Amino acid sequence: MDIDFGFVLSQAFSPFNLFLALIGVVLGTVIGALPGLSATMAIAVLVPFTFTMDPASGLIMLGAIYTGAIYGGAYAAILVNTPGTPSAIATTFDGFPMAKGGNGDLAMTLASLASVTGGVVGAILLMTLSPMLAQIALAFHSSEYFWLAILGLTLVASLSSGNVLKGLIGGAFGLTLSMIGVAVIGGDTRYTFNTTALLGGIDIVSALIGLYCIPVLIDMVARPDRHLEPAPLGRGFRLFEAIGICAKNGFNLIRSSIIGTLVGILPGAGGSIASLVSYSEARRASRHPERFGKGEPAGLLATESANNATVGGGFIPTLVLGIPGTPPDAVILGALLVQGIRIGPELFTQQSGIVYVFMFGLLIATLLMLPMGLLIGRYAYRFIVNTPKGLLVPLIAFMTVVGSFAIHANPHDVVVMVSMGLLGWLLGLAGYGPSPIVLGLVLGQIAEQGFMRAYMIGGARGDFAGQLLFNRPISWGIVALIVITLAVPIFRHFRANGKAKEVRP
Amino acid sequence: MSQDTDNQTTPAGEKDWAGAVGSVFFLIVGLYTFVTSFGMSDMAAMFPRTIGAVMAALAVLQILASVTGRSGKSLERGSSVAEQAEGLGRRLVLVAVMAGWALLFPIIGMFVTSFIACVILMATGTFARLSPLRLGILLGTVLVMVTFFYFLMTNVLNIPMPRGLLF
Repeated sequence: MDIDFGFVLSQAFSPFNLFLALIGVVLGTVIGALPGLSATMAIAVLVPFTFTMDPASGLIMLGAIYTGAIYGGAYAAILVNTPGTPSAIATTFDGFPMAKGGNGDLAMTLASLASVTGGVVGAILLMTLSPMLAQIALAFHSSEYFWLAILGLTLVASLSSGNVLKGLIGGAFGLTLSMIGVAVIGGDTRYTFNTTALLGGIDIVSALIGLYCIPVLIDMVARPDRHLEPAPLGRGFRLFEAIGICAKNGFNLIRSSIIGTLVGILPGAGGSIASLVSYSEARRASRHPERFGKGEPAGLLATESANNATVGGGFIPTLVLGIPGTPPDAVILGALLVQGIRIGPELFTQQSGIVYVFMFGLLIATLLMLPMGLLIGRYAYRFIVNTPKGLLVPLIAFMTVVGSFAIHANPHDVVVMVSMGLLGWLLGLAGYGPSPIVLGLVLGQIAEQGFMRAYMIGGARGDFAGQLLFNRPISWGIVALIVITLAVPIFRHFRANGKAKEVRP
Repeated sequence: MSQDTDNQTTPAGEKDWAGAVGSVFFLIVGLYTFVTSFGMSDMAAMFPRTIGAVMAALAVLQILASVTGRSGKSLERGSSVAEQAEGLGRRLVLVAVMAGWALLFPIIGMFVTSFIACVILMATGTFARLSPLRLGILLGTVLVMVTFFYFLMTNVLNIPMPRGLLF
């Protein structure tokens, strides 16, 4: 491979491209922070503008918007308890309790630092190991994707500490919701109750907004107290405090970033579960696992570094194999093709100049995210804290309605959002959290496709069990992780019961 | 993981009646999914049948755990049933506004329904008595907010908003 680094650096660091990266990061962060407005939408809207630019500039801007939008998802997760995307689900676990307890400023700074770390690690691995790491995506077949989806659901279930059963039931319910509409294999119409409105199924983002946002709104209007505790004046960004926490959690940050990149390589499932895997690993390795879910900075660092690392990870199969892992990857892939860039292994040999400019641009955009993120995050936190509930409630409610409508310009999605929100509120009373349901909905089609392909191939060979599990060594590893994930809370439960009996006279 | 996690857990040994009721709902959904799968083609039926059976079985286990006081703690959950009594009227107003908004905006128009809904929600989320000046400021802010997002959607993001009977 012959790379002209002089050309790459002069392109990536040209004032115009740096300006585009800055604009892209700011736009992406703001759009990602608004529930319902996704990275896909931001990129899709701006793609036509990039056609008038030279390929390097256009791609740098698209990459900057993407990485900014993934980071921006943390804002809504921390400040409103609503993840903008499924990859930010785990950010709500510790981010919102931190903000609720008056440490929203620290949470925003930690999210910025973690996102930059994850984004840099992901971009470096993308630049250095892309062709090799792309083989990971090829090693995963339909059976592995099925088990990967089940692993994601068991991870979420185990995070509902002490109540794995409720988590698993919520996950199964999410899988059931994903079956509504036309079957992915077989083509039957399922669970539509003879209405055309349900033929297209339940939109994931509408359900996500409803399940998280509506219960928050219902609780907000009930009490006169503030939505978030204000931070004492004069604390600033709390940057040095955050850097100190990051230094203490250095291993956690790097491990989560690597997990995010590696899991993010897997098309479809990767982006959604990477942050959950990292969060679970951070909790397992922590000396204080009981603090997780109550505002533990280590949990926030794990999830935010992992989900921004998935940006670099997701580009690996997109650029090397032409397999986009997420919808934004698919839009950027389309933009690359329009610019006349041929995707595949030869991209790194015959058109290495342009692809390395793009990768460097992604790295620069990630670094720009730190100052911009600190600045925007600080004002976003102040805005949410200082805005009276009389304005905050209609603002959030309006964004949920407009955001869910904007997905497909379809009023049905708004009805789905409100219905799921009411269901989420009622299920919350019974102790069923929204995360397993949302993840079940996200992973449902991947799980069903994997399961049914194994069923068809195994059925043809007369060896369904072998095709699903026994002949698949990677599946053994994933199933072993599932068993460990389920066994640990049960073990902890019995150990806690044993200790309680010892204390009792 | 949601809100006020510490005081929302089910203490060990205490019966979780709300959890049991929720589990009955999932038991019914699981059984429905399982039974109706027999009317589908083999390819479409296999996954719902499996998931329906698993969900029903897990729901039965959870019902048993709930009524015997072995439900365990739940970190991620909403407010408890007892906490919902506080501000119940305001909660129900919000639910009604959101439902009406979702159903009426394609008929009446996005701008008008959004403005009306936002004004009602503004009143629902306001607890202190408002002076006429402050009320005017809040109403003006709501109008600016609705106009800004409407303009953003229609003119910047090119998403056509339903105009309905009004606009």
